[in-house]
Amino acid sequence: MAAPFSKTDDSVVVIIGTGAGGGTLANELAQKGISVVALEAGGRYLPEDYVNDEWASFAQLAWLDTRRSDGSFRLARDFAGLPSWIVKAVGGTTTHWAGASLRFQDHEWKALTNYGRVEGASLLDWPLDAAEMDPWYTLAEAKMGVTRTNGQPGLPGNTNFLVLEKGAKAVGYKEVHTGRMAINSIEYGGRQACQQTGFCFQGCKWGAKWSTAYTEIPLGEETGNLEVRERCHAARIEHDDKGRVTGVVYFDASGVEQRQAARIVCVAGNTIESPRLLLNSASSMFPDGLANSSGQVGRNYMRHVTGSVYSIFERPVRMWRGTTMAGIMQDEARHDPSRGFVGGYELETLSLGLPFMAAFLDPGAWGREFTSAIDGYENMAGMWIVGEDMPQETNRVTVDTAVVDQFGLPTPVVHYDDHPNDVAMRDHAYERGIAIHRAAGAVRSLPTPPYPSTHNIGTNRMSDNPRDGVVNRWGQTHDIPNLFVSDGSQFTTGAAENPTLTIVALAIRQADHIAREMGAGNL
Amino acid sequence: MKLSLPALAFAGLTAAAPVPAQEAPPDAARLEAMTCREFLALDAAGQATVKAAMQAHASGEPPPGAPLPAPPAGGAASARVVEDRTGAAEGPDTAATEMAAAPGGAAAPGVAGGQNESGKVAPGGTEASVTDEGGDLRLLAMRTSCEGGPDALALNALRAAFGNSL
Amino acid sequence: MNRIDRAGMTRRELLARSVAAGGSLLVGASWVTGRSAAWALEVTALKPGTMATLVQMARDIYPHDRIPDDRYAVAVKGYDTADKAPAVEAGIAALDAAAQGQGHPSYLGARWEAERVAVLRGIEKGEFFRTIRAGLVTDLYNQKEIWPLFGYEGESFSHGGYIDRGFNDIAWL
Repeated sequence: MAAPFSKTDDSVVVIIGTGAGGGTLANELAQKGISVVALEAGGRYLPEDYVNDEWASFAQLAWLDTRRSDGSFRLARDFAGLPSWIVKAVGGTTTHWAGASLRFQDHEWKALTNYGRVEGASLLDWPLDAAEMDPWYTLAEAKMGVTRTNGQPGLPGNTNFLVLEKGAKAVGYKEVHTGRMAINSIEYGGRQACQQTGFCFQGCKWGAKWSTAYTEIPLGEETGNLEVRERCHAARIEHDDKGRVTGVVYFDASGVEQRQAARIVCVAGNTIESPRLLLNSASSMFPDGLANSSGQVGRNYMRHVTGSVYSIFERPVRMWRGTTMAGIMQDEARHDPSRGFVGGYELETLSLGLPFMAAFLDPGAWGREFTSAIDGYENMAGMWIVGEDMPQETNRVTVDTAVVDQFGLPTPVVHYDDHPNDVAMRDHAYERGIAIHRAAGAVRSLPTPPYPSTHNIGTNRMSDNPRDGVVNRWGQTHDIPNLFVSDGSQFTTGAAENPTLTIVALAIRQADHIAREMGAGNL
Repeated sequence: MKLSLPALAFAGLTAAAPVPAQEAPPDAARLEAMTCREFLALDAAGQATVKAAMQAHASGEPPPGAPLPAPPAGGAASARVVEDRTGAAEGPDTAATEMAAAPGGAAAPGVAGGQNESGKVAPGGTEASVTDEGGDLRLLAMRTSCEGGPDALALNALRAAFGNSL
Repeated sequence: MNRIDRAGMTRRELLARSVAAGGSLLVGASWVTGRSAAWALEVTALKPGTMATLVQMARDIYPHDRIPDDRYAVAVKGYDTADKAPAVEAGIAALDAAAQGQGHPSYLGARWEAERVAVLRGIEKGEFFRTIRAGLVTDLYNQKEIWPLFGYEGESFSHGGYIDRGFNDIAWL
């Protein structure tokens, strides 16, 4: 049972957000006997509630609060009010994610060292490396039941994967398989196996895909040490005159302002909301926002180099059948500057249903060129590009005090310009993706622009140096010892891999650190 | 749903096998210990034979009767086959694979599984076709589960290929 | 039994909860509820000629020759309300004026699709066109009735997914 904690109980750890970072951290702390109150802006939905209909599910789960984006990237034109496609629900975006669970490559932990200085980019080495992260990755993979780790078999490949596999091997690629997925290929953790149903993005109705909504959260609640408060939107974090945080002010499900006292506060609201909350918590002592003496809060927003290639074949593919992200081609994930860019990218199969395909294939397009492509829907295969984008200080999340949300809080503005390295990488990936589909028999390819971002990272970056980073190697803010960041916003650089596994590994590691420091009386 | 393999499907295998099937029961321990690495090292007919034996084993049913193929390093696979219909370079075992495979592929209601045009040669003509499994969609599923994950148990890849249907 | 079992994520428990939740096995509210064909008779706020032009405009924006007119009508039917009608009447009037500017008697009077598309290209940056197009891309393609024309099968959970129904069936490859 959930433990109800008093709002004045200042012995609890307050976690804001219950997704990959917050949900994992909440359970890990609860398992160690630490009292946790988790504030979740969204409601609670379980597999029986998920709707396998794209727009209806979007209305149910997506974070649709007021946001604005600008900058030169195409998303600012296509979806100015929807820079990201993330979830407002218990479980956060682990409800929506595709399940790809790849470790960073060793060299990606030290991007500055390995890539060298790149003009216009704020590359930095992580204060961590592959060896230090290895045991945490192993724990994360076991927790999530990642295929092709710990003896878990891979998922069987669907038609979309078979197209990718055939084309990739035909053009000489070697590393092609159905991925490392936090989707059960066989029963695991009391959850059943994937039934190749599609609609992974709409919440897995079998519970085969790992989501904190029905793994970490109920496990934590069962200890009696975790209380999840749903539909509670954090407004600001308060501190005392010593500069230590003391509690979180939030609006409850009725829109009434509440305050929860805290011994420690962990921010895990995803990469747009987390810096927004720190900025909106500005005070006379911290006029630029909490933990922002470096001026880095909100900066270095990254979203991965993305894009898709959909191709039409002579005969049916029916890519929607089965796992949405059904396979991966990794040969281009290496760092090889001879290609004209630093860093690398993965190609992962993807499919959209007809309604979303129409919305995202070429936003704004109309007429016969567009509809003839949609007419080829049944014969389409698709893949998604996931590459490392360059951190840039000017790519940032700020708050607009002139535009407030339903609670009167300043709203986030996301500014993003593509770096020339990003453009070069995307062009390369389009060319290779098209070549793969052509080799499998494609008659027409459609290089599709980026969707609203699901990979939002980097706005509270990690660095050993308090002048160029917001948090230290533990995700602890440099300025305020009892304030932590626990989501993807702490990423120093983005690597080429889908971020969730690394977020979970960092959260497990952070829980271990917090418990140890609490035990030692340091927190 | 429990799937069983008609003895007919193995006619070609048993006829060519050196000993009668009933004297060479599948080795349950070997099936349970076989890794994806070992499974993928088998030729197409060997994979089909192993898959059929594993399917019976996982369903708690009697073994289908065909002897398990020897590991590649240990000598030629015992399954021998008549005719190569694929034109692919993977060896002469595809016809047997198709025969062995038919029940699994055809078992899915409402789907054209098992009606594979395996004679089609891929553009360029060199790469292996995904139809090397000879139309057995479960065997294809098992192969793609195993690829890139050599240490997983082949029996678990079989389970992955069947979902809740085994 | 491990703890996740108690959290109710096994196959049996999920199924039981789904049924208890009111048959959400068959999911997805069909949020376009309009009946087919009779749309012209049901116009209440818009002039019939305006609705006819709007339907043609919708078809010209997303032309699929296999989709019947009534599906386009359903997609734009939401504009037939008292609060939206004035803006739509004004938008269609401007569309007709633009058509006349290109030598046609009206938008509908331009007989070739290419002629009408040329008129639309002239107004595609304007708010009226952008609103109509943006609404149409969801209200047309989200109609389950047209999905079979594209081969799209929609949800599969109520059929047990595709594990037994051809998720890897691509024999021609």
